[in-house]
Amino acid sequence: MKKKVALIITIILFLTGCWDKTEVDDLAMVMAIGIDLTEKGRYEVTLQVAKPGVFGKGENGGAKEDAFVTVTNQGKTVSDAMMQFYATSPRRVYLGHNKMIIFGRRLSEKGIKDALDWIERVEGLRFSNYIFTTPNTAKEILKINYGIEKIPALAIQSNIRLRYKYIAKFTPTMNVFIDRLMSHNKVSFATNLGTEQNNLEILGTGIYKDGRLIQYLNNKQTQDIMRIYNHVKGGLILVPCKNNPKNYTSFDILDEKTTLTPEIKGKKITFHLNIEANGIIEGTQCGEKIMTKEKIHQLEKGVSKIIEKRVRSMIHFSQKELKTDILNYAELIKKKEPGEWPKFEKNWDKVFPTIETKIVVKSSIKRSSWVKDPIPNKEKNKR
Amino acid sequence: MDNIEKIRINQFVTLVFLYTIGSSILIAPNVVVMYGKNDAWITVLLNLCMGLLLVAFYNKLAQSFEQNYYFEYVQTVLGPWLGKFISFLYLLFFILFSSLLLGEVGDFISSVVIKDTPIEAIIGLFALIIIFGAKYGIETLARTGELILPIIILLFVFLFIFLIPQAKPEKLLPILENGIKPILRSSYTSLGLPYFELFILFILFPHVKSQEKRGKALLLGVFMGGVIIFFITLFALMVLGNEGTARLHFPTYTMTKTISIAKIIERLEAFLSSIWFLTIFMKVSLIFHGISLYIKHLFQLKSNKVVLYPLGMILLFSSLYMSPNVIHLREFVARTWILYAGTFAVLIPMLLMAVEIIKKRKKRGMQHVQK
Repeated sequence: MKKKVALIITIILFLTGCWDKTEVDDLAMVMAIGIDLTEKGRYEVTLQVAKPGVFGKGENGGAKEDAFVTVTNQGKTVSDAMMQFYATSPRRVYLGHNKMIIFGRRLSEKGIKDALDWIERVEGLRFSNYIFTTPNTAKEILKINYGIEKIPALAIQSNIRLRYKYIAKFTPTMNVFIDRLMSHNKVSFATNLGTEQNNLEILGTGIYKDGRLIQYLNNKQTQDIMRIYNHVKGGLILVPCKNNPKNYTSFDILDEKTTLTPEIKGKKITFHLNIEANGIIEGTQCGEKIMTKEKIHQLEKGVSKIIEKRVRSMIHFSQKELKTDILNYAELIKKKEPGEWPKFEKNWDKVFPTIETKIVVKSSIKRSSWVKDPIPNKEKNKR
Repeated sequence: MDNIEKIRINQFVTLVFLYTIGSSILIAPNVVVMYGKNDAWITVLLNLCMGLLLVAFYNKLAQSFEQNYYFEYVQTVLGPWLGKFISFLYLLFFILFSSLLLGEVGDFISSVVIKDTPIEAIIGLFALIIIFGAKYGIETLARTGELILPIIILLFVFLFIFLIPQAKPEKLLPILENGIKPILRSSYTSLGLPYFELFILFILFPHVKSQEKRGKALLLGVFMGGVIIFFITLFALMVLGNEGTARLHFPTYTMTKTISIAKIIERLEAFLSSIWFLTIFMKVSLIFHGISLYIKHLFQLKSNKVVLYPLGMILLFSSLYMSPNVIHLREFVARTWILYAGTFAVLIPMLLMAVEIIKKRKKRGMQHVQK
């Protein structure tokens, strides 16, 4: 009995609670991290921190106050800059709820691998953080208010989750970014976030090669390159009308499937790119009946032609202008024809621009929403 | 040997299974992929086959010591002095092995879960639990095993199902890129995990109730564990790729961090760490119990329980000493382990068997002469 009492007392002494507990109101919730490089080559880290006090107010027409603050510090490394926050912040800097990481332009061009190493090692950051790049500095971007949402980082997060319907089902999160960086062509993509008249806007994609920014693509081009990677599951194709090329029929992609296979004959490499697109008609400006067999067939052909043209120009851009294998061709050869790969490995940079790609696009219109034909044009009927 | 604790055959299978996957699920993928690259999963299968062969050999060997402990058998074969010396070497191996495992626990918790807590506190607490586990004996451990087995299997099933969306089978291509050589090379470094650790299970043999089923049960337990390790390695390769797996400390842990299903089911790394804690607890407790039995036998003590607390202290400090930093342990496992463990797991048992066969022949020869 005595033993038991002694044991209980000893246990109670040690179980007073966590000695390093942190209450929620002792935390500074970081919503977004921006990393820049200054002209002198120092790292500049900007944090967007939520201001919890503001959340309750506002609705009843209170003072318009930003629900977040941005703080910036510099240091020789990213950790060095972070250390300044830890040292000066009245609350504990907590990264567990961080939503996104933005790399500024100068850092992107110089290479983000060192910053990425910190991101991988630091405690609390989730793998599902979105990776962004920006033509401005990250500091500028993080200061902009988003309008309808209180915290810009949350707004951008919601926006990017919706984007797969319209652009591509590809959201460059931290693990995807690192995974692509370690793939054979070392090309990874980050969403490009910029400003348009002091508003935040997703401009497209930044392409990184071995951790260095080499090219920006706009939203349309993003869709084209993602087509090659089989990530497009939605989007709009505008087909010009036969009777008036200034009017369009809108074709909304519901599902798309891409297969890319290499074929090697001796020293000649040919890639076969097959795209199958399914979709519906969302509207027409042509002013004539479209629901006939021939018209549908014509439209399908038109869609295929446009997709093919866009993809071809993307491949041309990669091979002739950028001269970088952003299409993942090398890895496909290595995986599907491992016996042939050593032949091309040494002078791949020379071989790559000469590769021919045969594109076959098959698109089919399945439905046309509620309406069969557009409202008849009275004037035309009179004639 | 009549008043010894007895465990049922399915409890025995459970213990073997938990012992096999304990610690290996976190460390093995890294070690295998280091040399095996894309084909590491083939290595794991090869290792499983070799491990099962080894188990078959153990079963054959165990026929000669039926109801006795392995260390008693060593002494009957080699005589009291040499036998005691070999037993002492085994004892040292046990202590080293359990402190390595304990150091692993400390490294893991302090590098991924709680970074500010001193490693001594973590290892100390774990050592305390292990002392309790060993103190209550094999029967209690076996029942604990039965209790946690469904939890572990359930967690594994969840993990594998949730990992399917993350897995990209094309990451395994090209198969056999550099021929068979890397597979053999990686097999050499990784065979020790966990198959060269199995001989410690000899301490369980006299405790099994139905001896005739014991051999098959051991095979089944090891096979189940090997299959789990195979799947873990396969998923690590498909989710992280071979470079991604080789460059991380705890690839399986990082792999479970990538799980994100509809942004709702996330952060499942606790699943893996709970599996790991439970299995490694069973493993170290068993080994610890084995150590106390060895000491009891070596020094002719009345009970093995008196040595548990002092042993715990030794273990606590030797584990701190054994893993001064994270990489030290890994290098040891990758380079030295196969030879060191191989000596005790393969070489000495084989020698024992050879000696016994020669002895038998001599006896037969003598009988011939007498006739």
